Formats: sequence, C-alpha cells, structure tokens
Amino acid sequence: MIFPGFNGPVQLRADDHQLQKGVYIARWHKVSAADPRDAEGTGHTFAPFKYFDPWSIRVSARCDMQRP
Amino acid sequence: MSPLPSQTVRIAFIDPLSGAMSDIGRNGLRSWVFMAQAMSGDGGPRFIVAGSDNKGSPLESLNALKAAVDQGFRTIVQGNGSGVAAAISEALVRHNERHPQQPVVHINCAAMDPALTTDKCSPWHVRIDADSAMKSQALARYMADQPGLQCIYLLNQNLAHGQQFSLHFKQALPALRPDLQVVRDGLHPPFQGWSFDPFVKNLLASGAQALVTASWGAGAA
Repeated sequence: MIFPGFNGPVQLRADDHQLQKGVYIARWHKVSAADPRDAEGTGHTFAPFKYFDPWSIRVSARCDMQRP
Repeated sequence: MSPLPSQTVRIAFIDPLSGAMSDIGRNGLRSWVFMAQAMSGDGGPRFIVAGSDNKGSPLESLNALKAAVDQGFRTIVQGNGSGVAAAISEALVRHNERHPQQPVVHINCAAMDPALTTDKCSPWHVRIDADSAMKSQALARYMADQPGLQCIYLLNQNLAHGQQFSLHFKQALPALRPDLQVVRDGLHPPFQGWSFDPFVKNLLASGAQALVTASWGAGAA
C-alpha cells in the first residue's frame, strides 16, 4: 500500500509490513529569502537540499511479529 | 475503527520533558500539540495531546504509561529513545492481551532501532519515522557522492542508536564508494556534559574531511 504523506509518498511494504518513507538531508545555514524560517532565534535554519525517496534507501528486513 | 467527527482522540505524549534530553522532548511535545490543533475541527475528530515526563528512563516510562492508561488514554506517542520504545511496546503487548476490549496503541515517532519492527515487532507498535538503517543508507549515499571526500571520522553516542548508526553506515559505504575510508569509529558517553575537546583534537589530527554522527539532543551540540 502506498499513500501520500505530508512530505512525500509512504509505502507499507507488503512482504514484511515495514513502513518506507523518504528522507531529507538539510544544510544548517543562515536564513535567506529562499529559506526564511528562523530556528529558535539563531538566525540560522535547516534548509533541505537533498531528498532520497523511499525506494532509493530501502533496506531488507525480516519481521517476527506475532499476531494477537 | 476511524473516529467519528464528533469524537475526541486523546493522545498521551511520553518523552523526556526534564533533564539532558528535554530540549528534544519538549520540542516534540510542542510539535504534536501544534499538529493536534491544526488537524482538529473542520468536520473531523478533535485531537488533544497531553505531555508526560519519562525523564528519559524506561522504568519511568512504564509508570507514565500506567498512569496514562488508567486515565483512559488509548493512544501513546513516544520517540526518544529506542530502549524506552522497547519497554512501552512490550508492556502494551501484555496489557492488550489482558484487556482486549481496551487496546492501547503506541505511535513511535522517532525511536529508530530496526529491532522494534523486526525481531521485537509488536502489532500495537507503529513507527512513523525511517529507522537507523534507512537514515544511514541515505547519509552514506550522500557522502559517497562528494567527489573530494576520502576520509570520514565517525563519532556517536554510546547507546543502541549510535552503535547501530555506525554499523549500518559502515555496511552501506563499501558498495557505494569502496575507496572511502573510515579513519575512526568512536563512541562517547551520552548526555553527561562530556567535553568534546579530545575528540576535536583527534578529529583534526586524523586527516578526515568529514565528521559523521547520529548524536542527538544536548550531546550533539
């Protein structure tokens, strides 16, 4: 099952029911017109600049969940 | 199972709200309260988030969990860290076995130990964050793409998350960039007001061009 999350698609993987979501890498730098949100009065902000979608960072897993 | 528009969903947020990890916990609580207010109304259910301080301890978390369940909370949100998440997850398996009519769910928003959804997986535990294997995969991919980079220095908190991040990062790297060297794989005690001076000296002397860490909270500053 794939559904839209607030920051990209999220997949609930059928074979091991692991939730797969994208990951952002952010850069800590001074606020700018493009990245105006000041983090806690520091004058700096975490600006996202690289996005990895869920499929590019998938890792295999084995789930031992016991159903109730 | 989805709540009716007139219903109220009460969420107990159990995380460190005092002590060395409290900046992370309080930020999380404020974020969940903000989201609860933003998502409430408009014909949908109303969300209420109540914070409960676990002082970063699994034992205190179980006390907070019992108090929340006694007060009728059926949704627990918790994130920091994985030891606490494991304790809550295990306690809820027992609780839900004994009280099948009043099951309680655990929404894990930040505890990244992959074991929580593999060998320790519980049907009552849902993690909504990427785990440490996925995050280290992303960071390894990014580092592997940096053309001038040759040496990496790893420094992590000596707890499950730091150890696993280091392990998964080192496992991901060779397939991406076999020439990239990890010159040091260090662990430091977490949340103890530790001085990083010796590590910084060692880092500068190591010739590494990048420091990679998954440290969080006051320990990351």
